[in-house]
Amino acid sequence: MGIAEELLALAGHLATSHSPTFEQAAFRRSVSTAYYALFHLLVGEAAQRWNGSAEAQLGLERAFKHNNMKEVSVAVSKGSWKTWSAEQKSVPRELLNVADAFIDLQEARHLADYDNTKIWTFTEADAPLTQARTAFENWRTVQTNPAPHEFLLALLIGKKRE
Amino acid sequence: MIAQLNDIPKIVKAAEEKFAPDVIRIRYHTGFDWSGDPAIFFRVLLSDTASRPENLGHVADRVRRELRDEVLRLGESERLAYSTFRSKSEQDKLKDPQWE
Repeated sequence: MGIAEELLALAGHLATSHSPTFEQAAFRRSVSTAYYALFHLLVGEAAQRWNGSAEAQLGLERAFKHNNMKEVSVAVSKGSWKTWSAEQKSVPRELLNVADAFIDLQEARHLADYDNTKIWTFTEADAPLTQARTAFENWRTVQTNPAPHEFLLALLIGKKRE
Repeated sequence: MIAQLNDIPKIVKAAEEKFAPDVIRIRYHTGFDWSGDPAIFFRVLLSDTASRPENLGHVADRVRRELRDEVLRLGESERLAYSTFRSKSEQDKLKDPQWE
């Protein structure tokens, strides 16, 4: 099990297996962890596609910026994303789902980590978790198609192409 | 922009009808997300059956996508649509006015 899958499993554990004393903290950590599970899935997939040393792959992973990744995901979600091919590739439904999940989970992560006025219910914490699980399934389904390769590159360097 | 925002209640009503009885009601407000991008935040109250872990993923995915697509269709392409979900029994306990 890779770190992304471990984080996803941990998010599920935090949402369901906690003492009532720590309920709000557990829900918050679950939501935040679900986001980082998807983040590390995508970053890890990008690094694996680059044939460098382990150290260089780590450097590549550290180059990913959360705001760039959101911007690209928004472009995919809105249908305005352009691939690098002369002939535009259609965005598979599964990739659209992954992009939507990234946008939603990042916002939920910010709320979970920084908005201490918000009271979380189980359903509010479970929805991001199930969204992350579905995004993992969709990524596994679509990852060998051409568009996801370009999506990973765009996540690294931004949505604009020259 | 104002005319388009005025159409949001129509989107909400249509989604409530389309996804009944899983969706009981939808409330919303506009503002900015944590990154500072303009956004619309939907609060979707679900039936207890729809909120069960085995059902939530499917129901939430459909509602989320519908609301996001409809906001785009209105021409609100600069505004991101976010949806959060709560069960009826959770809301009955919390009695949060923003979800009433």
